[in-house]
Amino acid sequence: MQTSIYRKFFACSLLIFFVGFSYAQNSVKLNYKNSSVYAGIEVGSKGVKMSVLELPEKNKSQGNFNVLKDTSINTDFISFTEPTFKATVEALTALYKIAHDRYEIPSKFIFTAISSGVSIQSEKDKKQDWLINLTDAFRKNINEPQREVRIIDVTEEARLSHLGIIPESRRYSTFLIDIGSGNTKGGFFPYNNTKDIKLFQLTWGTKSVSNETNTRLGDDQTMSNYYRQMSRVLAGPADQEIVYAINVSGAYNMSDNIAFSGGIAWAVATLLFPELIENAVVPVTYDEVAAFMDRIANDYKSLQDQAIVSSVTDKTVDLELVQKQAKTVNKVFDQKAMLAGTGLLLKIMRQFEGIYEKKQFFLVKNGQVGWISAYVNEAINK
Amino acid sequence: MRDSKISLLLVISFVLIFASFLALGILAYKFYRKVDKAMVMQPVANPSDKIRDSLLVVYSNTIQQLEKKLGATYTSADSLENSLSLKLDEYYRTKDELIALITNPTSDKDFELAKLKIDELQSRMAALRRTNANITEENNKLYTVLDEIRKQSLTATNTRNTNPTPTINTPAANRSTEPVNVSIETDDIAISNVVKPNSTSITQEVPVITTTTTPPRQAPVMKRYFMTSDLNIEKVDSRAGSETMELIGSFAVKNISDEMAKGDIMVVVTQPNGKVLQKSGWESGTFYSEHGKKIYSCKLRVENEKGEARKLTFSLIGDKSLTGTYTFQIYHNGLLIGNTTKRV
Repeated sequence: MQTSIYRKFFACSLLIFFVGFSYAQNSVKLNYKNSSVYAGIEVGSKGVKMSVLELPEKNKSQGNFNVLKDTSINTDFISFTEPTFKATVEALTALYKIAHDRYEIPSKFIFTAISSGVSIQSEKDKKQDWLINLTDAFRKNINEPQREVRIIDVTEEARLSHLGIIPESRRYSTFLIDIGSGNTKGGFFPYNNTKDIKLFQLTWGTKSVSNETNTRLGDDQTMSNYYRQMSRVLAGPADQEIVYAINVSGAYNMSDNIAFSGGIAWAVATLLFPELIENAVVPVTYDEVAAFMDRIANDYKSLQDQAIVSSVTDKTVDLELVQKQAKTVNKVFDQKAMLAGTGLLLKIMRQFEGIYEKKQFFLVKNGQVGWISAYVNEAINK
Repeated sequence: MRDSKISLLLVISFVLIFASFLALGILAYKFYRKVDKAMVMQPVANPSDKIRDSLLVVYSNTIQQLEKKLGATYTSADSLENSLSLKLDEYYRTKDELIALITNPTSDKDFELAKLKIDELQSRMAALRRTNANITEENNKLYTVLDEIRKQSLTATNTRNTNPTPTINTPAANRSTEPVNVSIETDDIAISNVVKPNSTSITQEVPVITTTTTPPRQAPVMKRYFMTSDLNIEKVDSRAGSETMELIGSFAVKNISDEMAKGDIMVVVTQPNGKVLQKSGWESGTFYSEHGKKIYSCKLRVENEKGEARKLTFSLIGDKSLTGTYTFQIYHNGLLIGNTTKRV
């Protein structure tokens, strides 16, 4: 009798403990009343990235999504060595298991893909078989032989990014440009359908501008010299390519809105508009970005997290979030990197700043999850 | 076997209870000792300290006396308000005396007295007029100073945002030399009176200060081109069961300038919780107003010929559970050109 009481007591305690534990693990804040949670896992050049997204049941195609989790594991897959291959397989498996077991996302709601950057590099290095091996190893690890791991090409990535980020109302009037670290890519839909995208590519990114500038510095490592040399990089080798690529794209005549995504867009948006910290997209003008560049060059202290927080006068703004985000931006971009990225952004914006016709510019903060959300959308609507 | 287990559990329980009592006892003893020690260590007042602190007593007394004096000076200090009320009292007293004399005259002396009182009344009225003129003059001076401060603060804010110390020449600074340069349409800066709160329409353009200067980049061009009227807000409930509501606003915008005018009209809708209701990240943003940096709910483009009026509408989706007073403000060129409130 007493033993059974002990057993029941012990079983109840255990149950309460596990229920509480599992609830704590799965407690993700949902924004929409009727929504579903999906996960997109992408093998990128730098590592494996997972985005857990919440998509509302209605208006799925309007670019409405809420990023619940966004995490990555750096594995450097594109160096194509045994250790990085092993690390990538492990990271891919681990993130899949987190999505499946911890967040309890059904397998059919978890989408896996390999990004265009990896695909291009594997073609260059003639290592396409590494992608097949990676997919096979991952399927074996998760015990799902039928699991699809799609290799996304650059056009498809640009198309999906556009679909995931830009709302339907601006679908055919917006040119999306993703400024990455090593390159810049984007596009727009010229023919009122979402199948044909006009691709836009540059071999210049935030890091490449910064690297090129650093090679020109010589002994003078001062910020003023960095700025001078960066201006020369943007006016010299980068200028021709940028001007030509934009002219050839025909985007000036076809687009009313120019949206920028990528790390530098997120950084500028966060520091320039702390009042709009909760917005995923912020409108911006050429003059505002130009003034921001002045601040990076001449008043960098005003961009530190404390200064940004104290610049906010609106009492309804979540200052804790502002400080956290501003701190992260300053960790990711130092003064030189921020100057290089903003310089490139401004250079591209400059091509759309006409005398008679002005374009509306936007900075997209969570562009990195855009294409995954569209991929998820397309996959579930198939 | 079972009995022996129960006995063992009982013994363990007793041991634990005993240990608890023991621990409590130790704690109580320690507390008693501490209090005792504290009482023993209470410092005894040193006679030399008394002598030394006598200076402090003198100092405190002096300070108290000074405070009393200052308090009295402050309360009896002359102010425009006191002066005005005194003069008004005198005026009313003289007026009452005069009325009494005229209504119940007993002799010619009373009429002479009445005449004197009338003169006195007139002089008091003249004094009141002078006081009034002084107050108006002072007010005007204060308003001018206030406007200057506001203008300087706006310029400072925008200059800070554009480039306060151009030690490195950036494209922002160099852009005027570049082939594609956009010039600003007007050079006029007119600081106008702020619209009265809770009014539903604003009709007057009241330029107070006009100067010709090139505004800094990003600075709001403080010229009033438009006025609004018929600002009307409607709340439309979404379908049953929905937790959202639609706020539809409409207003007329009239070009009051001497030329064709175009620009952006910013609509700022503040919810009862103080947050600005935003249409979406694509439609909402920030702008510089005469009251500093503000978030706008949505932006409407307007292009009117001279004297032309057009009706503009906007709609915003809000949270039905957020009940209370919603404030609607309409801005153009950073100037408030219309506002109203709606209880939802």
